[in-house]
Amino acid sequence: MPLPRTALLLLLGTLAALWAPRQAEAAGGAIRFTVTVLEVSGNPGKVDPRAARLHALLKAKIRYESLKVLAVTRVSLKVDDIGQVRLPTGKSFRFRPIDAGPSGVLVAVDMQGTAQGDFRIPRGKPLILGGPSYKEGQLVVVLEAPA
Amino acid sequence: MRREDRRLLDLQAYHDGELSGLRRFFVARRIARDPAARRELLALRALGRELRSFDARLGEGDPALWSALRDQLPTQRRPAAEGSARRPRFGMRAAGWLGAGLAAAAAVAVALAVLPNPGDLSPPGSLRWLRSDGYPAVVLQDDREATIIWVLEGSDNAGALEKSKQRPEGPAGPAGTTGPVRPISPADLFGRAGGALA
Repeated sequence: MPLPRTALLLLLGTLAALWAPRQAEAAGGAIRFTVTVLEVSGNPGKVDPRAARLHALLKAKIRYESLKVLAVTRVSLKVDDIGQVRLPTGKSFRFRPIDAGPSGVLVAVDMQGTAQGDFRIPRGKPLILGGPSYKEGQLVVVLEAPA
Repeated sequence: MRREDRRLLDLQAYHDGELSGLRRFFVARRIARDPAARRELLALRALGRELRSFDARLGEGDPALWSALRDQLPTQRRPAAEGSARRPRFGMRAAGWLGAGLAAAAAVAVALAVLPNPGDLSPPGSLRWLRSDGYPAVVLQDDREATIIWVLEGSDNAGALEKSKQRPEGPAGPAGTTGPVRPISPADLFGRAGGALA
């Protein structure tokens, strides 16, 4: 029966057309992360103007006198890819997006020798990991997914 | 079985309401397009009406009269036994099941393709789990603008703890502490904002 077969093929074609973009989005859509490495210190000093936004976030929570931007790295990753940033302490900061959605990205994070964990990073709401001693202050790593 | 015979069987089954789903749709479409099929269907309906009117007029339970009547009815070519027309053959039933299965699979596929991806179904909040290699950690995840994890690994940080006369709750624990961590107020640990950690 040629007509039912044609109808079936049309149906399958329609399904494929509906399905393909979603699969491409899920499998191929890269997520752009920004990793900012800061040094905060109790010694008197300046606040790096490049980190004005982060300073506004941190100053009410953490006590410090100076803040310096050490590195800013942008990394594009697909889900399950691993991103790595070398920290000035010689250790590495690794992260892997596990799941991405419109509300945010679920990320596994490994700050070598300091902390590991899974975090949901809402779009535009940074994850700030701090604490490791560095020089006379502490190292802070800020991981952000674009808004 | 010849194609004509199969079509006639389909028509009879359609007329008797024995077709379901996809099969019924295809037969209805053929009837709509094929004048010969329409004529056959009309003949079947006329025959049905005729039989019902005889039944109504003569009542039931007169087999002799029915036999005589049947001999006078217009003959319809029936390629198969009466039973096989009422019950579709195995091949037709299999085709029906195949159609129903395909329709169900298509419905599921459409649902998967169209419905939104549920994605991460874990509870709200930023922290899923944390391990701070034995160091106390402070988690500020309820902040509207950022999630802050502060690991107190250095002597300077320990000093900050001494100064605040507070012990961090939740995250402070033995090496390998895992699981959700209860956030504490930053003021508890760090005192007023604007001072130094160390």
